[in-house]
Amino acid sequence: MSPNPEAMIRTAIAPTPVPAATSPVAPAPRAALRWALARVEGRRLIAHPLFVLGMAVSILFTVVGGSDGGGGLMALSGGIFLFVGAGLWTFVVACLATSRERRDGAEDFYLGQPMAPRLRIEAALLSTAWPALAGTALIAVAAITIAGPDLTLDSGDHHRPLRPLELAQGPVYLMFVGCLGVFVGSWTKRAYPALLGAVILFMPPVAWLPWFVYGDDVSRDVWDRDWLAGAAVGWHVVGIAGLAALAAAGAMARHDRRPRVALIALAALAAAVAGISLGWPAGM
Amino acid sequence: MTDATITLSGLRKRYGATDAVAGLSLSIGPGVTGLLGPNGAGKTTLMRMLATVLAPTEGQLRLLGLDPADPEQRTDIRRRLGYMPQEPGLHRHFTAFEFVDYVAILKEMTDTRARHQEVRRVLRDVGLDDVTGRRIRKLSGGMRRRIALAQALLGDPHLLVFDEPTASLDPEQRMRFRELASSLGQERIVLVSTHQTEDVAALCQRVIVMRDGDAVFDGTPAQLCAVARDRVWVADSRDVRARLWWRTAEGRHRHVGEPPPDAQLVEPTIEDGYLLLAGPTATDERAAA
Repeated sequence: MSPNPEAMIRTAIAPTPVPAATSPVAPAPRAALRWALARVEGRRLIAHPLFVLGMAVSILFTVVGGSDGGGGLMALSGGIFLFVGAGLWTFVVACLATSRERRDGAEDFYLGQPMAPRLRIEAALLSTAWPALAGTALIAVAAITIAGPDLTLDSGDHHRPLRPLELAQGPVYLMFVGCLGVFVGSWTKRAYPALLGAVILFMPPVAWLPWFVYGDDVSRDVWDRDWLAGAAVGWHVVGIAGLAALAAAGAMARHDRRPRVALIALAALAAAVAGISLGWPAGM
Repeated sequence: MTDATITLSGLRKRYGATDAVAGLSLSIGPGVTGLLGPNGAGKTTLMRMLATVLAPTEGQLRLLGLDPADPEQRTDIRRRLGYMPQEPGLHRHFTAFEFVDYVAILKEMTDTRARHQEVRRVLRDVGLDDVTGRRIRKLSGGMRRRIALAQALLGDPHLLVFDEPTASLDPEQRMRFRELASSLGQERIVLVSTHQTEDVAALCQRVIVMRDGDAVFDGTPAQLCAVARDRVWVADSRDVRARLWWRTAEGRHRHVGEPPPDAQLVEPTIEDGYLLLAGPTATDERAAA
């Protein structure tokens, strides 16, 4: 203590222990917590002006690309979300939302809350289902508009029915880029990785990697190629879902070092490798 | 059953070779306790440890009878804790309602209807019920401070840790904070770290003055005031023997320190007592001693 006698003053205040109140908030189940936060985060993602802009661009792509059969197939298979469509902006807004805590210097504030950081990351990952649902709605409306109620594309003498897995590619892709955004956002403190990642991931030629089934010859011989046959598209969806799970595991590893995260990562890697290799277009 | 006290025993937080908190031992019960001290005294470090966001380097800490070093007990403490950090890091793109609602989820309130009622209640309590839909970036500094205060009140916590709660509040809002904190302090432990000695005088049943990571005073505001009894005087000109002095609005000079024999002594304030213990010359004197 201080050698200054006047600076050593302690009076006889003795706090009287009294029974504490019971916890003011009964602990909620973890799943309920996760979903409650995911709902809020998900709504924020799809209401974000950048995501709305991305959806507007995707709608524009749908209108332009859906004017002929081949373009329609590419659009409905998720092509409308590529380049500067909703995929890019899903990545950016998910990254910004996840890094918000550190960008705003609120780490202390969040640490003082009972909800564990890993639950917050899991909620952020779940929230990417909202952009995926928005993408599903857009694909559904576009499919009926372009292919009609029987979901058959017509181009001259050709009639080609759309398969559900083809239509699933776009929403799964949005989920993937959303998880990738959460992954980048969970490990970074600043906003620029979102922009840098956007350029690297979404600007050609790198941007096309997850979409190799759509080579640049798609509009020329899309009707004749067999690489859009069920199995290949199915594996393609598995590959994208595997990449999404891999990104999710990378994000979870930020606050969760349990073996289950490593297992998820390994399973996701296996799915991604299998999906991409088996879904690779024949002859490419 | 847990007891509603905070106990610190030899609590120390070291950053490199510096002790931000240097072996502090205290026991704090229900009521409003003020924490005074100059910048760098260790107040915020202590508040962060009490808010369970920072682990002590040494010593024991028990909050509401629970050990924050144990993960499960730490979570239980956080369920009973309302924490208003010095820099809360409000999300500027959220509206006031959205932000407090978001925090309510982090506080494990999952029932939407009940949660929204609670959010409206705390916003009303801090006088923000008319700006709930406005984005935080468009609110004044004082309003943002009140949002930070509102989130700390969510769930009726038993332990409230307020770091600089009245900074940037206007006088009316400071009065309102005092009203709120004193009401909360009737049954709960309320810790207020502040530079505002008048808030401590008006609000706290107990005041702890920190300097260099340790408590140099622990008593009531009246006792802190009494530290300066017979050591404050006024004169028409500056007395160089005084430790501190300033020119008053009336044009006279108010001095704090050892008065000359013929000094015109005046009634001290809590600020005089604080300045004697922790003012700018206190460190030099302690070092010399």
